[in-house]
Amino acid sequence: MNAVEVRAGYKYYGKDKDPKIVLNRINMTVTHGSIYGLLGASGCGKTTLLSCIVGVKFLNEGKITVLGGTPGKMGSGVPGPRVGYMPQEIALTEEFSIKETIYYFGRIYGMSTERIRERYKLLRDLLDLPTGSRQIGHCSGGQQRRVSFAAAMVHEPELLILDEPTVGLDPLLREKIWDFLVETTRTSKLAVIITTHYIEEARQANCIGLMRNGILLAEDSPQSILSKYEVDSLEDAFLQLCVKHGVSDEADENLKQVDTFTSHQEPIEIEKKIDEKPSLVKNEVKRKNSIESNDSETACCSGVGDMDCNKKSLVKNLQITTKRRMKALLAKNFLQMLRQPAGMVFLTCFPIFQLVCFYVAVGGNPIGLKLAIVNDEIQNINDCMNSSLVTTHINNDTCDLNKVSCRFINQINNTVAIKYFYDTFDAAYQDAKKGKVMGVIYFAKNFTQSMADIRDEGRFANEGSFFNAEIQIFMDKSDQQLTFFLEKKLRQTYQEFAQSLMADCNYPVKLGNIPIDFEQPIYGSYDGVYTDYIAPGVVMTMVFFLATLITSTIFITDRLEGVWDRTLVAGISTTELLIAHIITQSTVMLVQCCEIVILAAFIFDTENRGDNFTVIFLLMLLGFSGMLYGLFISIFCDSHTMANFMATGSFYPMIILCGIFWPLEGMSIYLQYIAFLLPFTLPSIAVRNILAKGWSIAHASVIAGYGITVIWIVVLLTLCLIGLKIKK
Amino acid sequence: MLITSSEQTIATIDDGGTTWTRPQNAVSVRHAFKTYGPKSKPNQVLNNLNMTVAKGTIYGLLGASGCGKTTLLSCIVGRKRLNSGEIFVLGGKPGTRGSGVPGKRVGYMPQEIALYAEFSIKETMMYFGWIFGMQTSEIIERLHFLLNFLDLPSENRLVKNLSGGQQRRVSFAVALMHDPELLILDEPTVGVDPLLRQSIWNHLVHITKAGQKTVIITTHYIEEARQAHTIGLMRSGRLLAEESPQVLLSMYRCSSLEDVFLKLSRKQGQQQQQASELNISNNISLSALAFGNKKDNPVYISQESGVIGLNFHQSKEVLISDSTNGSTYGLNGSTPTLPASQNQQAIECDDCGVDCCNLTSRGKIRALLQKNFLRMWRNVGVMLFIFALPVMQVILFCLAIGRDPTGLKLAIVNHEMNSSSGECYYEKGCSFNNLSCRYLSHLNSSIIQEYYDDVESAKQAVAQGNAWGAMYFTENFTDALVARIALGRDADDETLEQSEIRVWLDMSNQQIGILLNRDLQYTYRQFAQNLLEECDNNPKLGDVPIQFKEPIYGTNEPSFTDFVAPGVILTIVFFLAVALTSSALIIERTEGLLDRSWVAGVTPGEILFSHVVTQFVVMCGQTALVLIFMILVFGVTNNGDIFLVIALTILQGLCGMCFGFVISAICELERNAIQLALGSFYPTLLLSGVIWPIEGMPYILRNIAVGLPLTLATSALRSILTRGWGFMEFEVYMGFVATISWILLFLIITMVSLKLKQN
Repeated sequence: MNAVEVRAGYKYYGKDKDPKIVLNRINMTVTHGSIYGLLGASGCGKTTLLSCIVGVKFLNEGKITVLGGTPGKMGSGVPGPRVGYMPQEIALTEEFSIKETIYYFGRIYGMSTERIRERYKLLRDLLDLPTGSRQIGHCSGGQQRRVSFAAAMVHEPELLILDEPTVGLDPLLREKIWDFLVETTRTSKLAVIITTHYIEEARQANCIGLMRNGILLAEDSPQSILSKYEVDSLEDAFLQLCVKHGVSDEADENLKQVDTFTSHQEPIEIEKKIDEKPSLVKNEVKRKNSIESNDSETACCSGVGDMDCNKKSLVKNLQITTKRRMKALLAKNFLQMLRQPAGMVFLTCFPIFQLVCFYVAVGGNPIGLKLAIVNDEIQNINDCMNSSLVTTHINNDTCDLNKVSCRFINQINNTVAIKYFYDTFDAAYQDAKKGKVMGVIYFAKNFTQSMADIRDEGRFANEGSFFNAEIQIFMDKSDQQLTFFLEKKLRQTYQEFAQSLMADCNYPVKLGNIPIDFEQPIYGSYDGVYTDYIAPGVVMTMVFFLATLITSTIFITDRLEGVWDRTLVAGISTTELLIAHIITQSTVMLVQCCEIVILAAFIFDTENRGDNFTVIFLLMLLGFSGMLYGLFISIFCDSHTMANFMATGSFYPMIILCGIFWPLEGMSIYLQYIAFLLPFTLPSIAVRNILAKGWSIAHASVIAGYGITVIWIVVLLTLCLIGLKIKK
Repeated sequence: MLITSSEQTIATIDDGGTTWTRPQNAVSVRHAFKTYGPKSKPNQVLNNLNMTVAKGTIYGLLGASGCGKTTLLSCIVGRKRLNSGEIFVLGGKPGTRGSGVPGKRVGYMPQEIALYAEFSIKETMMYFGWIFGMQTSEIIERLHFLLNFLDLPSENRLVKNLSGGQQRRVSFAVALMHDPELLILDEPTVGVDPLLRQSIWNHLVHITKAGQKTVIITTHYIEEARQAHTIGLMRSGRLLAEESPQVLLSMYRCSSLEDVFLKLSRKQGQQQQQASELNISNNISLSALAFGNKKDNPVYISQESGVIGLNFHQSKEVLISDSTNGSTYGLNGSTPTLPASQNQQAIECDDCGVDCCNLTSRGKIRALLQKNFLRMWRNVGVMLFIFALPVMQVILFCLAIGRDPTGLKLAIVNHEMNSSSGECYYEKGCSFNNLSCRYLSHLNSSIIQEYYDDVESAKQAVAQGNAWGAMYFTENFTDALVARIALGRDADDETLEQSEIRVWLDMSNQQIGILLNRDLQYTYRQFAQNLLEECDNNPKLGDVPIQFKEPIYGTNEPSFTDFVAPGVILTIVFFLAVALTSSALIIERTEGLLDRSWVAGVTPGEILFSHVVTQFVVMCGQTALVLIFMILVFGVTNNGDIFLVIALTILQGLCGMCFGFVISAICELERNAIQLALGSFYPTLLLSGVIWPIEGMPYILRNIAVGLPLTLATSALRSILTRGWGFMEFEVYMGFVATISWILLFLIITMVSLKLKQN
C-alpha cells in the first residue's frame, strides 16, 4: 500500500467559466519508507498539492488517498496526528521558548507529557537545539528552522511533509537534516514528501517529481532520470524537461507527456535497487524487514479490511485528545500574550488611563470663569465689601432696603465665577467682546429704589422702575456648556438672594420665587453632574471597544505568520481555534471589566441604586460581544490596515448614535430604530436605568439591554464560524 | 592534507598576485566590522571581511541566510554604515555626496517582490524611472525593451494580478530600468522557473561582457553561481573563499560548488579560532586572483549558455548572447583600456552627482507623489475610508446630536379641572379662570401631556419610566395664584402653597431633565407675561428681575450642536489623517519598498514631503466635504471668515498626518501602530474640550489639556464660528500657532527617528 496516492488530481481557483488551473490531472505516488522530492518553481502548484494531501484544501476532481484514507474525512487522521507538516515560513510563535513550542505541538497531537519529554530530548540532541528556555524570537534563523522541523517530527508521524525545509540553511545543517531523513526512512515506515528549489539536493531522495504549471513532468528516481536524459545534474534534466514542455501551459498537449512519465511508477523499486550503491540495497532489505515487522506488531491497523478498527481507535483517540489540544491552544494564547510586555501594559493600563481621563476631564463644573460687574448704584465697589453694610432694615410694617445690589454681588461666590469690577459698562462690554470675561452684570443707578417701588406699588409701579429693577446680564453664549452652567448658577443665586431678602424682611419666603416648586426629583438630582449622566455609556463603549481593539488583529497575525496553516494541518478545527481564542480573550476582557468596575465604583464613587451583579454581568456580556466583533473583523479582513479601518470606521458612528452624548429622543424616529439595533445603545440605557433608577432585571428596558446583547453575541458568533469555514 | 595544500597555493598566489588597484574594482571592502545589539553583548554580523568585486564581472555572493549577506549589501549600497573598515563603491564611499550611491549608479533588487501591488507595470516603471531622474520618453523606450526582453505581459496589467514569476521579472526589470553601473541582486532566482532563471543569467552575462557593468548577486543556489566570474562563499560574517568557480573546484577537488562550500564550512567549524587570521590574507589574495581569472570565465559561460540556449527558442536572450559571443574576446582582451574609461567614468559621475541633486529631485518628488496617489486610488477600501467616512460621520453627527428631544411625556395631575370631561378649558383674554389649563397650553409642543387622577399614580408612572416628570396643580390653583399676585407679601402661607405648581422630575437623564426644568420655567414666564399683558399690566411684573439680555456672542438658545461642532470637525479630520498615515510607512518598510526607494537615492525627507503633499490634497477634499455638509447642508452657525475655518481645519489635518508619521516611524509592527492610533483617540477626544469645556477640569489637568494638539485649535475654531473673530484675536492665532508648532514638532520627531532607523 502506498502512503500517498493522487489520481487525476484536478484543481482550479477562480470562477467555473474562467478557471485558473493549478493542478492539471496530476498523478503522484509516494511509497512508505521513502523520501519523495517534489521539485518546481514557486507558483507551480506544489503548495496547493500539499494542502490537498493534508486535507486542508480539496480537489475539484480526482482522488487522493493518504495513509489508506481520504484526507479530511472523519477517522482518517488526516489532518491530524498521522501527518507532520513543516511549512515554508518558520510559523512558530515568537514568544514561545523552544521547549514550550515542542510541548505545544505535542499536546496538540494529544501526546502524553512523558512521551513529549522523551521525544523532546531525542530531537534536541539530534538537531543540536539550543537550551530549551530560549525564546524562538531570540533564536537565529537556522535554529528557528530546526525547531520548526522538530515541531513537525515530535509526534512521530507516518507521513512527513516538509515545504522547503532547507531554504537558506547552512550547508552543514542541511546535510544533517538530509542524513536524518534518509536514516529515519530507512529504519521506519515513515514517508517523507519534501519540496525544494534546490534541485541538486533532491539527489538523495528515493523518488523525485518534477512539477511545472500544475503538471508532473516526471516522476522517477534521480538516477534513472539522470541516465534517461544523459545529463549529470538534475538541474539540467529539469531544464531539458522544461524546454520540451515548452513555456506555454496548454494542458491538453502535455497530458500525453504526463502519462508517459508516470508509467515509470511501478518499476521504481527495481530501478532503485539497480541504480543505487550496494550499501543502499542492503538498507533496502533491512527497511523491508522493519516494515514487515512493524506490520506484524500492529496487525490491527495494517490491512485495508481493518480500516474500521483503525477508525474506531482514532475516533476514540481524538475525543480524548480534544481536551489536551485545548490545553495546548490555551497555553499558546496565554504565553503569546504574557511574553509581550508592552502589550500587557497596554492591556492593563489602558482602561485605567481612559477611565481616569474621562472622570477627571469630563463633566466637572467649570471653575474660574470670569464675570464683569458694573454697579452704577454705588460710587466705589469697596462699599460692597464693607462687612458692616446692612442692606435690610425692618421698620415696623415696612422693610427698608439699602444697596441691595451689593447683597446680590456678595451672593455670587467663587464657585459661580470670579468677579471683576468695572467702572463703566462700556469698558466691561468691550472686555467681554474681546473674550476676557464671560459676561457682564449690570445694576442700574437706582436699582434698590426701583425694587422697593415695585414691591410697594406692585402692578401700579411705573415703567422706569421695572426697567431699573432688573439685573441685566449680557453673556457670551458661544460656549453652550458654559452658558448653561452660568445661567443656571445665576438663577440659583437670584433665588437664594430673593429668598434671603424675603426672610430678612419677614415676608413669606416663597414670594421671592415664581410659583413652580421643583420637588426632590424622583431619580437623580438637580445638581447632578454631567459625568454621572454619561458615565454608563462611556464605560460601556470602553468595554466594548477595548475588547474589539485587542481582538481585531488576532487572526490576521496568525494568518500572516503561517501559524494558522500549521495548526490546521495538526488537525485542529477552526471551531477549536475560535473557542481557544474566545477563552483567552475573555480572560483579558474580564480583567479589564473588573478594573473598570472597581475604578468606577470605588475610586470615582459612581452611585448604584440597583443590583451590582446585574450591572456587572451586562458589562461582561457587552465586553464579550465586543470581543466577538473584534474576532469578526479579524476573520474577514486580510490586512491590519483593513481591520484598522473597520474598527475606527464603526467606532465613531456607534458612539454618536448610542445616546451617550445626546438623548435618543432628539433623533428622528427612523434613526432611533437604527440606533436601537447598535450593540450598545440599549445596554447603556439599561445600565443607566439600573444605576440611577435601581431597576431590576424584570424591567423591560433592562431586559431589552440584555436581549440585544445576547442577539449580537449569537449573530457575531455565527458569522465568525461561517467566516472561518469560508476562509479555510 | 587538503587544507595544507590549499594554503600553500594561497601563499604562492599571495606573493605574485597583489597587483590589484582600487580604480579597477567596482566594489572593494576592507576589514569590515559590523555589530548589532548592545556594546556589552554584541552580535557580530560582519567580522573582518574583505571583498573585492572587479569591474565588469559577475560576483556571486553565496551563503546561508543570516550569514551577513544582506547586511553587507546594505553597507555597499550605503543604507547602513560599518562600525569600522572601509568600503569603496564605484570609486567613492557610499552615502557620501557625489558618490551617486545610493542613487542612480546602482540598481538594487531586494529579496522580496517589493513592488506596489496596486500599480500597473507601466506605472511601476514610471515611478522608478522618475526617481532615477529619467525622461519620460526614455522610460517608455526602456519599458518596451524590458517588456520584450523579459517576456512580460501587457504593460497595463496590475502587479497584484501577475503570477509570482512575472512579479519577480518586473522586480528585475525595475533594477535594470536605469541601466546602472552596479547591479545588486538579492536572491533574484529564488523560486523562479528554470527557463526564466536561465534567461536572467544569460542577460547578466551579456551586460557584463562590455566590461562596464558589474553585478553582485546573492543566492542560496550554489550551483547556479558557476556562471559567475567570481564567487564569495560567506559564512558567519566572513568570506571563506573568494575565487572563480573553476579555481575553487579544482583547488578543493570537488565536482560541485556545493561540496566546496560544505568542505569549507567544515574547515571553518573545526578551526574557528585559528582560522581568523588566515582567513584575512586568504580573502585578499584570492580576490587578487579573481581579476586575473576573469578572462577565462566568459568562455565557459557563453559556451554553457549557448548549449542550453539551443534548446529553447522562445528566449531572445540566446540570440543576443550568440551574436555577441565573438566580440567578447575583443572587449575582454582590451582590459588595459579600462583605467582610462574608469577616469572618464569618474568625471562623468562628478557631473552627474551634481545634477542628480538638483535635477532629479523634481522627478523623484513627481514619482513619489504619483505613487502615493495611485496607491490610494487603487484601494477602494481606502478611498471609501477617506471620503465616505467623514461624510457619514458628519451626517450622523448632525442628525443624531443636538436636536431637541421630542415626545417627552409629562404626567399631569390637575385637580382644578373637571376630571370626568378630560378636557382642559380656559378662556382667552384677561380671564382668571382655569389658569392651570392656560399654563399647560403654553407648554412646548414637544412635551406630551398625559393626565393622571392622583399624584401617587403620576409619580408611579415616572418611577416606572413611563413619563419624564409629574406635575400637580391643586384644586384651587387659580384662586391662590390670583391671591398671591394681588396680596403680595400679605398672602398667607396656605395661599402661597396652593398657588404653586409642584413638579417631580426624573433627572436620571441629565439632558432631558435640564431641558424640562428650563422649559417649565420659561413656560411660566410666558404664561405670566401673556396674562399680565392681556390685563393691561406691565408684563415685567410676572418676571424674575434677572434678565439675560441679547447675548454678546451666540444666540439666546445656544445649541449643543454648535458647541461640539468645532471639536467634531477637527477630530474627524485629525484622526482620519492619523488612521491613513499611521501605517503607511510601516507597510512600505515591511514590504521592502522603503529599502528599494532608499537605494534609489530617495531621502527620508523626500518621502515625508511627498506624503505631506499627498495628504494635503486629501485633506483639502475632506475639509471641503466636512465643511460643506456641516455648514451648508446642516446649517451649523458660522459667523466668521470661512477661509480661516478652512485653513485651520486643513492645518489640523496636516497635524494629524504628522502624528500618524510619528506613530509609523516609531512602531515596528503595524499592529502596535494601530493600537497606538486607536488608543490615542479616546483620551484626546475627552481631554481636548470637545465634549466638555476644559474650564471644568482640575487646574493641573487643564494645563496638560492645553498642551494637546487639538485643544487650542478647537477653541480657536469655536471662536471663529460662533464669535466671528478674525485672525488677530489672541485665541484664534494661538490655535494656529499651537497647530503649526505641533506639526513642526511631529515632523522633527519623525525625521530624527527615520534617520536613526536608516543607520
